[in-house]
Amino acid sequence: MNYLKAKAMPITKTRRSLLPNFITIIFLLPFLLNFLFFWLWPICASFFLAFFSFNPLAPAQTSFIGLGNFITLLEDEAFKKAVVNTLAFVIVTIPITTAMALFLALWINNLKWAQEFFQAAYFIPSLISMVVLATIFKILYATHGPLNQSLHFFGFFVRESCLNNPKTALWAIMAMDIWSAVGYYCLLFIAGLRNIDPQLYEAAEIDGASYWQQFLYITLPLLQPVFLFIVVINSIRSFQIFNEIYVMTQGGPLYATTTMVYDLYETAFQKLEMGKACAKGYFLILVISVFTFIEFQYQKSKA
Amino acid sequence: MLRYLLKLFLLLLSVSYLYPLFFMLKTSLSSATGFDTGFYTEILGAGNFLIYFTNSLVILFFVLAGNLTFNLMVAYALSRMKFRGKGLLFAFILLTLMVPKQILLIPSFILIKELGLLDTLTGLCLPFLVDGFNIFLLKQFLEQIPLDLEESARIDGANERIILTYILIPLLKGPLFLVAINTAIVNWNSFIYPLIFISSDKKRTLPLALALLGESQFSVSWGHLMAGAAIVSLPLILLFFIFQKRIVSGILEGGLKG
Repeated sequence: MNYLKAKAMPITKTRRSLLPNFITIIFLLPFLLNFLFFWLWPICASFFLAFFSFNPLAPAQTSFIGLGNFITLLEDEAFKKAVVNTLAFVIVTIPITTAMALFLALWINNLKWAQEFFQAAYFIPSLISMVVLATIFKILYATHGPLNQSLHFFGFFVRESCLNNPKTALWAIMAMDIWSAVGYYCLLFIAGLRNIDPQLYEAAEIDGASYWQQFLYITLPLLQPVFLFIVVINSIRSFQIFNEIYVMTQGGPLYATTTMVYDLYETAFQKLEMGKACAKGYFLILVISVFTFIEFQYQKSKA
Repeated sequence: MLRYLLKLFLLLLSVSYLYPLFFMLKTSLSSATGFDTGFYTEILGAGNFLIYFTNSLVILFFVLAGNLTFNLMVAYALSRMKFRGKGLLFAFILLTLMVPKQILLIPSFILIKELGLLDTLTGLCLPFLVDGFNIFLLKQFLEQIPLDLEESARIDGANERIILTYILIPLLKGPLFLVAINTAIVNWNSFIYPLIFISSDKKRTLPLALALLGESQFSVSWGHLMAGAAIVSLPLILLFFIFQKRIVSGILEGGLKG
């Protein structure tokens, strides 16, 4: 063993003294090129573009306008609606999705049979393209679709699709989002539950702790890291909701379902105000960072 | 008694959970005359979904090939090679995991346009051939493999290529499978990039084609829409059922993005 190491050492040692050698560069090149062109350059370019007025169809008219793009955001009705809608989306769906995922995880984890079936049943929607799910739900929610028909059956007459009503449209999309997201987070909770040492429960059992007490004083505290992880990744995802909006409502009716990313898309690729869209992108990052920071702080204060 | 009622309720809940997917299959397979696969043949033929399916497959093939080779190369360099700037490289990879993709959209669009790759399948492959999450995943697994084997192979004169193909790749089958699944799910379902990069009908990918089919509300029946939806989703559902155990354990161990 020592013989092998003694032989191998000189090779690694000559490597260390040099700058990256030819083979290392070859190995890193694909990532470096990708990073340069599709990450680093875009991150910098969209930062600079945020201070310009830029239309890709009229590049000659590009002009520096300082904070102009950021200032006009304050008067942009669609943008303001989008911020409110997106925050509402995050604040409503995250607690419900997390609670449902935890509840299902506890239930599935205690099952003596068919665990795999239930894991699969809840997970499958998160595997499928959001475009597909949104297309299905658009029909389920349609004026003469299954939802309104069953409401009719129970004696409620609804004359239009809930997606056409500004009061219900966002809620309908939230419901679909919760339905589609629960399964994946449920699996993450199951993973967390399986990491808890069963001896803790046995000891608590001997001490006469009830199921509820065990849940409150063992399960919940030990799931804290999983909780934080789920809330953080789910809210980052929810701040970026786009596909279902595009497919189901295109931001309507009356901006009732316009989210920040949908608004960004419309600004950039339909109105072709790309500088302004970059400003919106950076604002979105700011919101996401602040939100994530708060989540981490909150978790820290509880621990 | 109450306990059994609760169990019954949860069972019914699980079944109703799958109703939207059941609805998709039912609507796509039934017409006025009963069981009918007509919607599928129409959407695949006249609806061009066969072309879109091929486009999606071609893109997936190249993106998979890229991800399986390039991610492994970077992960190998990070865990086995010594060079200056490794910390910085690692920071770059973490950065790609944290940046919301929306701020990349506009500059990527401009870049792809300048490269003349707008409205091509190449443009939809090129930005996605490497992935930070998958590099990270492979690096974690590589670091668990003891160095002894490689060291003795090196003494026998083996180079990087031989060590990778004959020693490491066979040991990394599991993680590489996770990389493939990750890539397949994300790439097959990708929507916003095709939406902004692709303009001509014949270059559409499946999710883009389905979304645009849904926009033309006047002529498209529910049956056609649901047949289209099934064509987009069934490959992944099948993949899931074939590899269910490995996919679920991949998620439980934190190796899948979901």
